[in-house]
Amino acid sequence: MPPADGVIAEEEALPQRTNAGRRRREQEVDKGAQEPSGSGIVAEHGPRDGKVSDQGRHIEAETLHAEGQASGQKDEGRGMSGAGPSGIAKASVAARSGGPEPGGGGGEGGGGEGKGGGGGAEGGAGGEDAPFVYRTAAVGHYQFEYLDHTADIQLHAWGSDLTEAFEQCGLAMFNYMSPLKRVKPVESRTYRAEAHDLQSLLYAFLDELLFEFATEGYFLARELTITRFDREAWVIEAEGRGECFDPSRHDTGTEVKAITYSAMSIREAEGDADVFVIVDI
Amino acid sequence: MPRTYAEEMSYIRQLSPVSYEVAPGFVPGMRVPGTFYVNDSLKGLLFEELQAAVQRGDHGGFLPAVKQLANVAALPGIVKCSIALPDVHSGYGFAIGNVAAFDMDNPEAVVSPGGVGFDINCGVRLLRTNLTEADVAPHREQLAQSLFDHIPVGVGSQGIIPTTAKDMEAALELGMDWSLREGYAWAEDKEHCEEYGRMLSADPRYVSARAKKRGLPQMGTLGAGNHYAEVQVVDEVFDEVAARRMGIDQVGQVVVMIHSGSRGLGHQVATDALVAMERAMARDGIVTNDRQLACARIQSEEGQAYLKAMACAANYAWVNRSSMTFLARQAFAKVFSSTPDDLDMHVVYDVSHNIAKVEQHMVDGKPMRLLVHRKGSTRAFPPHHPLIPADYQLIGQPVLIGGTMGTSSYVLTGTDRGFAETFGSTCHGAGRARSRNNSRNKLDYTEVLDSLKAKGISIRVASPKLVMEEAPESYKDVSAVVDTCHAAGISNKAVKLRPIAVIKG
Repeated sequence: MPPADGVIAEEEALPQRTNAGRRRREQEVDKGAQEPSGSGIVAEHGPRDGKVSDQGRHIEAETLHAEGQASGQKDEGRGMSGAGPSGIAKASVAARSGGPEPGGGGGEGGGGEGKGGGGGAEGGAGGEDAPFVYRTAAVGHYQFEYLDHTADIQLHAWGSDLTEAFEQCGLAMFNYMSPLKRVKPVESRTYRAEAHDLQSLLYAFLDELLFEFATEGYFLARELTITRFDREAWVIEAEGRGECFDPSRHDTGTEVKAITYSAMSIREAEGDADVFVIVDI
Repeated sequence: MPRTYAEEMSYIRQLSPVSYEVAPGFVPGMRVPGTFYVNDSLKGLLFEELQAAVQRGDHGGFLPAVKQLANVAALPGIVKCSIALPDVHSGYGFAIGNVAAFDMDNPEAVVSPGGVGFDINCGVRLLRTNLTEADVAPHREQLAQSLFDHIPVGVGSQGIIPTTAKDMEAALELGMDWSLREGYAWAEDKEHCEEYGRMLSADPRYVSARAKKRGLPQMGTLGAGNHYAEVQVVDEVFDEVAARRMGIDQVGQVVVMIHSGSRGLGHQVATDALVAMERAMARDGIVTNDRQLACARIQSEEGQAYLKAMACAANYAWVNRSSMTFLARQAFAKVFSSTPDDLDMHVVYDVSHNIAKVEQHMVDGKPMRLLVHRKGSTRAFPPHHPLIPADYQLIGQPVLIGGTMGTSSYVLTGTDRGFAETFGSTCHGAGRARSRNNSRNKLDYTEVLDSLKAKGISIRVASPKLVMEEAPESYKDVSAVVDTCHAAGISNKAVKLRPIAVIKG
């Protein structure tokens, strides 16, 4: 999965698209700790290479100028550096990500400020194009990122297989509630979720993590291992290592209220899988 | 074959300067038209959203609000039209700011949890005081801190009013009657609350153990997201008579506004119902245009179970708001070395903007019994309606519109025209314009805080990140929303409020 190289001058992008990414990078570099716990999108390392794939850029320009075609716009405007999943995490920092809204968001964004609709769904749609184009807003060494949505947040997680993607998705949720970098792996909890198909399984899995968090001492798992992923009985059993939320040591993120099926997408390919799920906050 | 933007727009026609109609055919199966209220400054957002959707094709599950409005109009049993208020924005299945009424006497009619929202009985309560801004000014920071200390907010917050599982059961069933019994509410608080703070249809047996478990530690907490407690002052009085009836007619008078809902319990109830209804839909042959529009026949087991559980969640939210009222009263009393009674901290009113109610309405001259879903929309009953408090009979039901962090809030009153046109419903707030992620990235946390400070607003926030997400720039202009409703005649402006302290999760 070679990256599509191409350096795009940031001036070419419409202001509200680049600023988002550039501002965040500036914040990272300044390290003013304005966001004490980070937005979750701030990665801790990586050069500012500003590499952006032509493809991603081109599509964004199209959508921003409201000429977007149906095909291919799912990779809209992420400004991907397009490396493979593991490579992405490191290269992702500099790439413009997270801020620009894909597809529909871009369309009306060109028209006016602050229109946040349509963001997350693009990510959820289809899987024909290279999924890795998205993965540039990865948080730290994790394999997840947060995507735009008007009122809530869309989690996008990936891995070499579905199990890994599910695990990363769970971590994405925890990280949003409290940055995991401050969470120590001192305690273990086990989880079990049952459902009737793959989507409801992802739903039930995340719901179980959330339920345990909300009812048993606000336990945050910084590591998640799925020990059983049964696709016939639709059961997941997992173990999480972490600790309970402690306001004196952990940063407060945003509480997740519920998991939703909205724009949920689960994709599996040879050696790669990813999931998109919107959580209500 | 996908339509062009022009083709889509051919289904939409303007009815008045502030209202538009979406004709059947906009989406398949529409049984009634859609109506939306926007003025010129707000309509752009709505039409741009549609335009963007046309361009990207029907990718993903994210539909523009006008499409969602139309999909709702295709649900079985819907009466008259599917209505969108000026603050409408895209949501799950139903748009937020969408009202839809279903005929209780039609066996095909459905109830949909999506038409209520995940946060069942998310609503607003207003308390008045007899303090003025001048009285509060020297103590403002202290007051903000006191409220922040008293009212549990944010991730990991625990309710500080002791509750056992048995208390929880009672609270779910009795609503504010439980708060009254336990000494957290004043008797007159109930009078000034929708449903008198208790939906009688509640039955805790229909709330899952899971939901109860989620609700227990959260009783009396504010929550996060766009929930808040604000100390505000009366900024402008538009309707003297109404303001006087409500006891808030002095410019500079200090009031307290609490915006919260049913927390994890309400969400779990909605979730449980959606799961059950998906199965029921297959069984009962209900087909909708959108997977998110899970629903069930009102008279079916699932429908009835949901309504009973929803009522419990609604009761829970009223108990929560009552608990926070109690805590706010304590906080004020401490700071001003007085008693809540002496400070005249009465509840002006308490409204719900995520709920479904059985109501009587006239449709084409006939009285009908309807299940009115209000998602992101507030009931606004007119003067002389039997369900509003006796002391507000002449002015109509107060409607509390929470602004966004640092911006104005409003008190409106219901009108006869609103009762006729929108089943007595109006907007609920500002509605989001910009995504949270977008806000986080674009808006500077310190800038937002500085701008609030510059306006003389003390702020206590549990999660700093939320400050950016919740910045006013992320929302539509609440004044435009309220003005549109006023222009449409579906609610009247009574009082404008300005915040001086904000407590957020």
